Amino acid sequence: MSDIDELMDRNALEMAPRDIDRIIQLNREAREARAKGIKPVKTSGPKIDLSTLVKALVKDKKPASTPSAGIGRRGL
Amino acid sequence: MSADQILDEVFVAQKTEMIDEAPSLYIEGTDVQYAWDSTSLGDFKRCPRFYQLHRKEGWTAKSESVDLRFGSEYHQALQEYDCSLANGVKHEDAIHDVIRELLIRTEDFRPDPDTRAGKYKSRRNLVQLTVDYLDFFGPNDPAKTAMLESGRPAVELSFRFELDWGPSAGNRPYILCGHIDRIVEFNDQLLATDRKTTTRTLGPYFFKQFEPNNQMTLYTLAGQIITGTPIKGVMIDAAQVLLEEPNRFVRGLTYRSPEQLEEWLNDLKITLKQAEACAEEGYWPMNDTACDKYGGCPFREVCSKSPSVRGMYLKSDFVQLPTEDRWNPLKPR
Repeated sequence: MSDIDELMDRNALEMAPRDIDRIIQLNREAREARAKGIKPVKTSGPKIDLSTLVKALVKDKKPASTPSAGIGRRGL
Repeated sequence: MSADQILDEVFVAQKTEMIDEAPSLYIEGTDVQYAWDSTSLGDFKRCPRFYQLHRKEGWTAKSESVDLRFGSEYHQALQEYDCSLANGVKHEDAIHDVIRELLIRTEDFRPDPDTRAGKYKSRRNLVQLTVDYLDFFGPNDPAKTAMLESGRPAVELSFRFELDWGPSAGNRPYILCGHIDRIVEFNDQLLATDRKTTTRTLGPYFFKQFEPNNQMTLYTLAGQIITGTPIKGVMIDAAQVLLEEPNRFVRGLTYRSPEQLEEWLNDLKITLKQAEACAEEGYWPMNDTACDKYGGCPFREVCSKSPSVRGMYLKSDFVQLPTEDRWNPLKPR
């Protein structure tokens, strides 16, 4: 969930003026980002343990001699 | 004949800025509609069966309720901004108030993101579109809100006026009614305005749909009555809702000559006679040349079935609104 989604999910009646200003600002930033072709960045949500991710990538790495998917699909 | 002459002859003008109650739009004890706005009139012109199912009986597709809510909240937000600005509030303060109110009103608006309507017309996109529109047009808009004779800014204009003829059933005239966003001065001319949201591309093809166009002609007439001046036409601020690129805004103008207004009124007499005839017969015929127009009629699947099983398909694919929630142009905003 992005910052703006998280902020907008809060009860609007309980929002402070600075929250509203922040939502407006984030919308403006989102517009600028869209204009530059940047997709929204998720800044919150479940944390990923980078060391586990690296280990997983190393484990899944195929040996250099593995035939490419293209050759495999041709049935060689 | 000038527009002023048409108005003098045809209307018993009743300038109504605030409407407090919502009486039935049908003549008592009949199905004859006497109060017409551009939406219900447009639906009847499009297809009497569509008018019957959608407006009269209140059958509504779930996705439409998302579109309607999105459009109505967007309209309200921009109208609040217009009012604030016309009353001297600064842009940043006005936008703050508008977004706060919008968030409060839409606390319950959570359309299903897995549907097309919910994907494009989400609460998040509604806020984004509103901020984008107000930043695009707001602070430096060359179109300035006109002032009414009363000194009130010409925004949020509900109108209701009587024609000088009525249906044979009952003893009352037809009423034309509706709601104009605002009237502006633009390039030394007065124009009514309307705002549209779409997911379609905003090119010449999009704007062609407004010439000729039932709603824009009625708004030109109504604008003339509200202001007592010859409004030339309607300025359309169209917004294209996009998901990855910035939302787009294009402004289009559509004009109506006095002869066009007169022609529309003459045609209206025939159309309303046809509507009355349908109501008296209790039968609204299908216009089977319109099923693929307007992006495809939502009732197409229903109408393509044999008449005896249509009710079953209606109930499975649509919800029927209770009478008090059905379209009523006399309902105050």
